[in-house]
Amino acid sequence: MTMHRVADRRPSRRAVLKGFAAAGAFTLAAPHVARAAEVVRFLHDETDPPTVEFFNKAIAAFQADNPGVTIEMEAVGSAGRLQKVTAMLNAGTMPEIFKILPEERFSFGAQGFLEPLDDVIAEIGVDQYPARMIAPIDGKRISIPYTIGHSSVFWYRDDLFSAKGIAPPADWAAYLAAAKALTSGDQYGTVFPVNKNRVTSLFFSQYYWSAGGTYFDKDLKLVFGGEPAVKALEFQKALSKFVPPGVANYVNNDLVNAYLTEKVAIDIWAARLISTAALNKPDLIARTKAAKRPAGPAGVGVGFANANNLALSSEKVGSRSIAAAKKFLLYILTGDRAVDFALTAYPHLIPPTASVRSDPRLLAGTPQLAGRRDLADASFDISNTLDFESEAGATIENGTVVTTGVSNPLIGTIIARDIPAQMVQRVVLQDLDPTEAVAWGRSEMEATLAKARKI
Amino acid sequence: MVHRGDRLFAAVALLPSVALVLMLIAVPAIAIFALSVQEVSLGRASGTFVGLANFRAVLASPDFYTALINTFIWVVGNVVFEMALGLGLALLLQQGFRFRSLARAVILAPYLLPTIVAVLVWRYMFDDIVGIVNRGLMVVGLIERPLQWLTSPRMAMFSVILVSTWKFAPFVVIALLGILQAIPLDQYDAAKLDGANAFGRFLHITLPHILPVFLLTALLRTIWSFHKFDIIYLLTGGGPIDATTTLPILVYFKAFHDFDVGGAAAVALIMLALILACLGVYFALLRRSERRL
Repeated sequence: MTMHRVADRRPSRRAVLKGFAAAGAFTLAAPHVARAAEVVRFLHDETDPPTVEFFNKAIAAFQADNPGVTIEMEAVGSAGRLQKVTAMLNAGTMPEIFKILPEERFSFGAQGFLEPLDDVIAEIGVDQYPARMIAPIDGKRISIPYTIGHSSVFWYRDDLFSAKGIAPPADWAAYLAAAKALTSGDQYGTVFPVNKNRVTSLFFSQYYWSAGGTYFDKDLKLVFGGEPAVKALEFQKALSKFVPPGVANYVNNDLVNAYLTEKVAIDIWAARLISTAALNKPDLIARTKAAKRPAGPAGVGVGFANANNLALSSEKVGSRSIAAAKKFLLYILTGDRAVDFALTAYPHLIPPTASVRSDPRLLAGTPQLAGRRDLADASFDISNTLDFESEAGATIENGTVVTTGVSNPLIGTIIARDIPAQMVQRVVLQDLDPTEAVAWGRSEMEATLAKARKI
Repeated sequence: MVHRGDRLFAAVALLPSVALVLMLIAVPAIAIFALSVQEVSLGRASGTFVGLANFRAVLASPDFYTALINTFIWVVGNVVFEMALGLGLALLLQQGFRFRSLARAVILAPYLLPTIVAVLVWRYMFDDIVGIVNRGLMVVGLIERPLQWLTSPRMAMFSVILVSTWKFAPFVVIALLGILQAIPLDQYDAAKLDGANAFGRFLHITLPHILPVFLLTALLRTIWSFHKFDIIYLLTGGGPIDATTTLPILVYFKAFHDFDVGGAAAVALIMLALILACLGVYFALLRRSERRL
């Protein structure tokens, strides 16, 4: 009898099979059920805690105003962003909104991965943006600037300069002399990265441009090499005697940390250095000044400034909520949100729109930087700067950088493979002759371009 | 006699597990084989069939041989140091002394730490500006300027092997302690009565007992070191230059820096062939050692 009851309680074979079928159906249906609400995924690399806090607040406010729309934000480090994006592209799981570099837009746009954003830009105002930063690609604007990244402000320790009786250097020779005079024991004159990464390529490029070279001419023919490239590498080799020993591993943050630990006297880098110091080491602000970049052989110290863009993925690569994503973009890039965003890392996050740049709240700065308008002005001054996308055929005339207006779709593949950075490594770490390093770099660039054209 | 219905039921019941295994193992494996014979770039949905061209390109590339040599140095360095240190520590911990339990816990701690935590701590300790290692060496006067532990092409491989040994030698200790405790003590007593010294007792009693476990542990550490990615990537990123670029790092670079997914898959399959060859050698050696014993 007992045995019978136990047997009765056992699920029948049919019931088990039904259970399997139900579980399978649920598994297949779950993603669609979960996606019943509109979800906008948002991937960026602004990982500063105040900036992330701003985004969280803005997202909460947007969701409150737009019931039924959920924003899922993910912040990743700059170093891993491209890898994540390319892997998601391959898997067809791209977030609706994501951070994109200018030189990546061509390839992504040509493959139909991006949704045009002309309507969003038109609503904000085309004349609000610097023209080179919203240049259409094949007649469409497929990304929208959310901030301008200026990586080349010449920050220096005024107290150390005064103690040595040194003035801010006007040219490369004076820069070398200053770096040498300010190096002693474990105190270093200056810093630049020698890693296999984009920021090392960026440093080399600004010296290369300052020596009068460009990677491409205005017809987008590769012209990299020659005397300017050799001079830039020779300069970096000479300067490397006065940098911390660990530069071969340096990434963006290390350039800030090196300055904040007071181990380097000169740091050419973005105003993130200042915004971080303002929050974590405010006493250093009083001892810090900014100056013009030392002029290279071409007569100008060319800097690097580019638009940091957000892009909207197309349905082809996994985007699902395009209309809601556009609405969210418009919301965070305008009004008080744009000012609040810029103030989260002031004066590092330079607003791309003229109206926000002239907003009285922004001009008043943050309490930590009150009274140091000179530091903000240095950060906001993007004159004589280039970026990878706009450098093709640029010239230096009468002490001013003149661009050709040509947007370069080819250079991204060279920079993504860190070819300029590897040249710097060969010269600085392996003592390779700069001429040989340039020849190696040139041949790598040619091979990369040939392969890119084939694909 | 098994009913047909029961067989069907068993098959259906097994289906989820089989599907899971297929999804997690077979599908990626087939995908890698398929990718290795295509020219396919990340971000592009489809590739073109190129036969063995990716393998030819990889085998003709100096980067591959640099990575192969680095992998050899990395694996041999790891296995030799870990096995030597692990054996020494296991023999030490086998002895009776005060605070032995505490010593065991301390020695095993690195293995329990998450890799990311361990690596970040070591990176900080090796830091060129504020690292305690350089600072300590400078304070005691051994060096005048900070050493480039992770940033000199000459020192980087040594440093990553050092960190890996610190992290994984405790695994060897755990494996060997178990077998050491299983050796009958009366064998040592008898050997002592026969006049055998400590080395003799180790050679003739300890070693034969622990050899199978020792070899198996060495094999596991060889395989795990061979495809180890995280420690090297997090410490040096494969640099400086290519000083610590091992084959797994090369796969990553090919896929995510060069966007050459086909080439990356080809390197991964060559790695698979190499590790299978190592396994063959290991099992041959094991059979020989078992025959001798």
